[in-house]
Amino acid sequence: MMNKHKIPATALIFLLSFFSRPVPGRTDDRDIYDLDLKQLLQVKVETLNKRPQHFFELPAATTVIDRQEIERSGAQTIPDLLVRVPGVFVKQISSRETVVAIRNDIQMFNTNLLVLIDGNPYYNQTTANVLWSMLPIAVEDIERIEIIRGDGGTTWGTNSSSGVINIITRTPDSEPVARAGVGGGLHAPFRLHAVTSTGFLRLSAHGERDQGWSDDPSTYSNGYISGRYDTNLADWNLNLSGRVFGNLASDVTGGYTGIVDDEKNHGFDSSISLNRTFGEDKFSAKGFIHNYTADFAIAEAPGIQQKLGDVEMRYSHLFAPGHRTQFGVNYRHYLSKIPPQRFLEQRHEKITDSLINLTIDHESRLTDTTTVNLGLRYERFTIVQDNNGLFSSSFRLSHHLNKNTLAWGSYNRSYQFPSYLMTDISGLAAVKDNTYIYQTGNPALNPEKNDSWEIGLRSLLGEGVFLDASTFYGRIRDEIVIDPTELRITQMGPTTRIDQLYTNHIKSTIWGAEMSLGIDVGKALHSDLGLTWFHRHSREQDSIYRGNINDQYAPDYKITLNSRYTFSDALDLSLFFLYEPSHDNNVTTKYSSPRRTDGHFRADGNINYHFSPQGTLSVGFKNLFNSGVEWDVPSIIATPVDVEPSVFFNLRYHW
Amino acid sequence: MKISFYPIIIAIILLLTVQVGTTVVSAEVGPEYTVKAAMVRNFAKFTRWPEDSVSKQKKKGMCLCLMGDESILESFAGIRGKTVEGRTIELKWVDNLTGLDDCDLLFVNRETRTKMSRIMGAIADRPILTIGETKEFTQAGGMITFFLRQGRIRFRINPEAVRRSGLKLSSSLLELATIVHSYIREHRQ
Repeated sequence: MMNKHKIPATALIFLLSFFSRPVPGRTDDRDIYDLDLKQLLQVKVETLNKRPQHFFELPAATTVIDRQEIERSGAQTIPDLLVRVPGVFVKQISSRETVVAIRNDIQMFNTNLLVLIDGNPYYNQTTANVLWSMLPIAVEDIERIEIIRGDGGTTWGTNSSSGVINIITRTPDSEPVARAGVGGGLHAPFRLHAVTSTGFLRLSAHGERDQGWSDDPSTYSNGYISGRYDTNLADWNLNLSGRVFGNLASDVTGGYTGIVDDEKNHGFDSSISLNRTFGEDKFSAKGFIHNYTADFAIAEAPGIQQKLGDVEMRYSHLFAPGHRTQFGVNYRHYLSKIPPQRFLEQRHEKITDSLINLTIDHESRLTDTTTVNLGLRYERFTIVQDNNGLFSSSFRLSHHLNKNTLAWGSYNRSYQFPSYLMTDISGLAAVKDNTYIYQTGNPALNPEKNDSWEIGLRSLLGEGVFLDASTFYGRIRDEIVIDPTELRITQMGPTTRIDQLYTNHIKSTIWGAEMSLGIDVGKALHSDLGLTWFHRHSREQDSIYRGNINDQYAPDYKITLNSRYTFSDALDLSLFFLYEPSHDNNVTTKYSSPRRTDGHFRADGNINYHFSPQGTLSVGFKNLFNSGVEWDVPSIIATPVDVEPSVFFNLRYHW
Repeated sequence: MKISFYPIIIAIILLLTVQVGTTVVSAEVGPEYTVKAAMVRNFAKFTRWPEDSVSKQKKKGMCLCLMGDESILESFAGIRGKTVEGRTIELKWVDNLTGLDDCDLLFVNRETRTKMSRIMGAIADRPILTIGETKEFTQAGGMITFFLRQGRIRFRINPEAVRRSGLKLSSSLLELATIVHSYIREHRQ
């Protein structure tokens, strides 16, 4: 399947209009370079967590959460950090599990969000979701999290059309150091973390046990051991890393099956990466394997296995100052084994698929103030039957209106591939009046086609005031969703089985805006106000039926306030507030009606007391004012549980 | 077990409000690398190069070499053309070890962390004021390294590395720095 690539004229005119804008004079270039050293030591810097220099220049809606923010927030899970970001929707299913979506409906099985650890994909090809509690990394081992909202374009790889979350792990300390942490609390997990790091090697061990919330009788344990080794081999930078992980959730009630069972997950992954510079050019190569076995509560037979092998090479060539081209090739191989289960049927017990990606990204600095990025990707994934290859394109433009203000715009075309759940698996989703409703994969699915247009603005408005705003419009053709008009009905004695097929019959439009306004109040207080507005509309395409097919399963807006206050070198406080209005969160079909989630507030807080240069005691709370059900989808959760506030402590020490 | 959190949160907010009310000093805020660039210029002001290392042509210009991600060139662009003791700062982005010959100062950003030993080996004891931003930097023989504390930039000085290079740092600079003793060298021996 070859695709023509046309950048709509309207988008080009829109983006190129930046060229015609007059560049204001550098009037607010207050000359920081004339300050003396003592004065400079008092200047509060805008560090990586808010607006790093590198990310300031990126023509994409980007947020970075850095180590300092992670430590100050007291967050104990990655979703507790992501919830602070505009454009990111986070819903807690239970005390341990969360669903995360960026600029799209909040779905458990979400093919369009790419989650990476150190650039390696943790996309689950079987189900297309990320079980955040099972991700083998704790916040203690994270250096920073990069969140790209909107299409990842040609740079980030397959299945990233709504966003990318790239988790960067901490590097080995140069000085020998040992770290240990212990934490626990009321309705909070008991956590242990230990690290030893010397020279170029970092070893980390983590374990936690969660007793769940009052409405949820299940308990959860999680642990992993990870290692990372960074060194030089002649002119090459070499990085080796690996993890062994395991999770156990006891007495989990699985969706509509009502089966109470243990959920287990264990496996390992490892990666190798090599980097070298050749004059002005850069070469990188990496390999990654990920292997896990999982038993879910919905299943009565164990052993869903997935193996992933991923190899990538990139070469970046500087043709002339300001003009750089990067060539990339990526090969990925999936092997999944899905044994027969009582409530889960599959066409093949063993599935293998391969994906190849070829990319070219070119960046040209047209003038001192204007930079253009062009990208082209060819990808071929055997999961779709008609796999002759697809071309994606990316066009980004950034323009400095003045030294402290960057305007950017982008157009991206990309394709989303289905997961095995959508092509090969049939799973029980609902039971109603002797009628068993299955969501059934369709092997004839095509990839869905995404076109998105974005514009954004980043600006240092004045002393301590930073604005980051973006707005977007997206069109999704051939969207892969459960189609209520495609039913296969089978009568089995007194019971009726209805299979709802995944199809490509839906087209959707999404649009919205996000804004983050960071303000320093005095020297000690920094606050980020975040506003999100999101809308989605779906219709059946190529059909005489023109009615709405489904509703939007995400809130219309989200308001956040994230404040950090420094009392002294020894004491700091972080407070986070969120409000989201009510919204639906279930597919509307003949057999299921939307479940309404009430609007809710949420407040998290944390106080760090650095009682010595080596030690910190933290006391925090989470989910204050938050007591309702955040997400209710019957096929995923048998009994929706109320969110519960928690209080916790954390003691960290290093030697 | 029901816990009433509301009195706690009200107390925290009240405490916060009182603290904010007492903080009246207006904040100086700057992008991280702009502040670092400004500090590098100040380091140059407090540094004396050996007479024989400052050639006639160098007396007019001062070459600040930047190593690491290409974007730092943009970040440091603001100090291009500024002067230090009558010498005009010129910027040069270097991506390999052979381009260091003209450097009076070298800033190495954190992206080159794993190459520190090779970079410092190439510089040896040449009179180049080396500035980095990781712990590895001073351990590998770098002279000054930045670090962040409470949202502000601080710096450490490795006096042994400075002494070997023949550079002289003003006592005013040393007073403002955290002095690093060559920890890693002791461990290597």
